[in-house]
Amino acid sequence: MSVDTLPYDVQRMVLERLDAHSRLTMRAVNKSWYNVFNDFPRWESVRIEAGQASGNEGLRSLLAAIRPRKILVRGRVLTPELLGVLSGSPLLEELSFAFCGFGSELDVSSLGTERNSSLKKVSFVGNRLINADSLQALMSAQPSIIELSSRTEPKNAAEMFWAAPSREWVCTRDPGTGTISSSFTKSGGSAFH
Amino acid sequence: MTEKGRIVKMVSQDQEEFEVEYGVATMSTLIANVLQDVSEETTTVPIPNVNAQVLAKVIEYCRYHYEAKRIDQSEEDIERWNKDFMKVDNKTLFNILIAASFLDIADLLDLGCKTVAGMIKDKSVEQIRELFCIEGDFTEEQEAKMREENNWGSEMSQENNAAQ
Repeated sequence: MSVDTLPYDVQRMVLERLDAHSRLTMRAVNKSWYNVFNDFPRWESVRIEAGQASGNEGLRSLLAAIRPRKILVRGRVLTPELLGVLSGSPLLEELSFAFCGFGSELDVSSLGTERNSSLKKVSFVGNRLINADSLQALMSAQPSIIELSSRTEPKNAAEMFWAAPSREWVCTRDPGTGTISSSFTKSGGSAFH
Repeated sequence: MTEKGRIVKMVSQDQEEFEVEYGVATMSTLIANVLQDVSEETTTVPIPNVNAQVLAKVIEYCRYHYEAKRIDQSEEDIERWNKDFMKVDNKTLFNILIAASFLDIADLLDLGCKTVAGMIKDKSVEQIRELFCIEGDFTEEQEAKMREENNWGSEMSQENNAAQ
């Protein structure tokens, strides 16, 4: 007797009691579990941590299966391709990046390459500020986005001690008129600055 | 007849009879509903989907939990008992789950599902297939695609409950 002989509802209850990683593993066991997994409601929110995984097609199809409402990416190196796949995740509404690495200037234009009409908010938090021109260009490329922000923040206590003031660019779109406006704020910082 | 003294006769798939106290039997929502719909004189409830060996285990669970609630047994003791109760072979475990689902015994179903989930946790696809005697039925291309997806999955965590 195999675990596959369990009724559909019971298989589903087993999956519900698993963590995200084990749930994804179970999905790859056979078609029976794959189908139960795929009938799950979309995931509310996922976090992608720093790691070795590569191959954007794998990520693209995984996101298509779980259709998260919100994705938080932390500590990964951002390439334009990765940005494109993440922002193209079906039904995605919020995309946040925290302390992700990128080249001299992040090319955010790829966020707009896979049009995603559900994407409403994108935010970057890290050591570096993305310039307002890039943010505004992206707002124009992705008409669904209503808020786009970039904020500098100390990563840990040591950084906090030496920290420069926190700086933030926020671009917003008026849903009524479609007008884009941006604001810049500066706050905090240690006594050394 | 008062419910306190009432005895329910549960008849398994293989025609074995189990005499069970009303309070114990009605831990199954299915049996509670059946008994509500029939006259008080009716005492026999056939359980056609569950064999005697599994039904005996299910009744053992219900009896313990009925009593545990009555004497206000500590959570620790109950947890320890549940753990021991679930130390069965896979076939029995799955049959208990199927019976709990059919009889609608929510706590037993939850315990069984948690036990199976605990067996799955931190295992690879291959280990799970071996543990549960499952044959993979994906094509080689599908397997490769799934592996690539799961590479990302291992760096992904679900932050909160699923949205509708």
